[in-house]
Amino acid sequence: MHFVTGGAYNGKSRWVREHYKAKDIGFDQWISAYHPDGLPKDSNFPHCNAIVIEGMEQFIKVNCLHRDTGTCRRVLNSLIEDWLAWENDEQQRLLVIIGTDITKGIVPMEKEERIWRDITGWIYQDISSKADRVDVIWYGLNKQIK
Amino acid sequence: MAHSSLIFVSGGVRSGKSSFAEELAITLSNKNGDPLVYIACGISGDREMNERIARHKTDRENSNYHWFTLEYPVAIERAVPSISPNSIVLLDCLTTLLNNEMFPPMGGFDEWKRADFLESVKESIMSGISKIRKQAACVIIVSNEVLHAPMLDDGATRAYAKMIGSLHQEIVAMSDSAYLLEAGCALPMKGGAE
Repeated sequence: MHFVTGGAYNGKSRWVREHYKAKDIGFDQWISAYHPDGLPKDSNFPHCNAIVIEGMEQFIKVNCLHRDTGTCRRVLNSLIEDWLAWENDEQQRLLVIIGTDITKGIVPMEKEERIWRDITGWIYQDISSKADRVDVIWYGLNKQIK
Repeated sequence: MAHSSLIFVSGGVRSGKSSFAEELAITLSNKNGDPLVYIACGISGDREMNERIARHKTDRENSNYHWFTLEYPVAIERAVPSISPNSIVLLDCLTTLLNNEMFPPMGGFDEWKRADFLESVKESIMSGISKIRKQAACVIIVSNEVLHAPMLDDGATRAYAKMIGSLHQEIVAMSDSAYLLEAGCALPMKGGAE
């Protein structure tokens, strides 16, 4: 699993596309949480070799914030485990997760926004610890941090 | 004429980005005795902004180096005739410039909703930078890290975020070096031979 993060509008998706194009890897599915019907219902992608899940922070917001924090984190972690199981099933499979860093602003006034930010931070830590590689994108440039 | 260099410096609030950029400009100017030009984009208005501008100005005056200060809150290409060749130009800062261009105090407050307006703002800023770069020996652009907070509205804030993100990407792509300031320390993200 490859986790790609960084601020909003920093060119993360473009970097992912270009980075893997240079390695001759095309994605069979590009799942974007920014599209209302883009979220995967399933955590198995039987006919794919390489997939991207884009907008992890939005995915968290839509899927999970109605639950309490503990459940939310558990549900997301088990989903990530399922994705990883899919990736590990076959040698050539690749999972890329892109998540915008939303954790460095002023503490939001709204409770729900605060919880969203907290959970996103925790889940990113969880994803990073399970990832083989982590990159931070800064205006199109990458810094590999794992 | 040798290729004039473009340096991008960004960081959070009070991260030391302006001081770093000023020191960098002075170091470059000392190499060949090139003149130092400061393009200020801030509009003095409220007390806080006046104090901020005054503090930066005092810092520059106390630095024992002669800075030639120009004030252009919008349309920075107007600075070109006042810049002598071989100048080291410091532009402080891009976020303020974009804000002034996108939300003109005298203009229509809804202009930012139009895609063609945003495109023209972006073009005007980029061509301003290119014209100044052509005239000068080196241009240092200071900007802010503002894209790491939750985006809660679909209005002006998001439009601004998209614009600043896209400008930063374009400027970093064409820059010779780019630095990210963290608590007074400069992380070289690109180039960095200065």
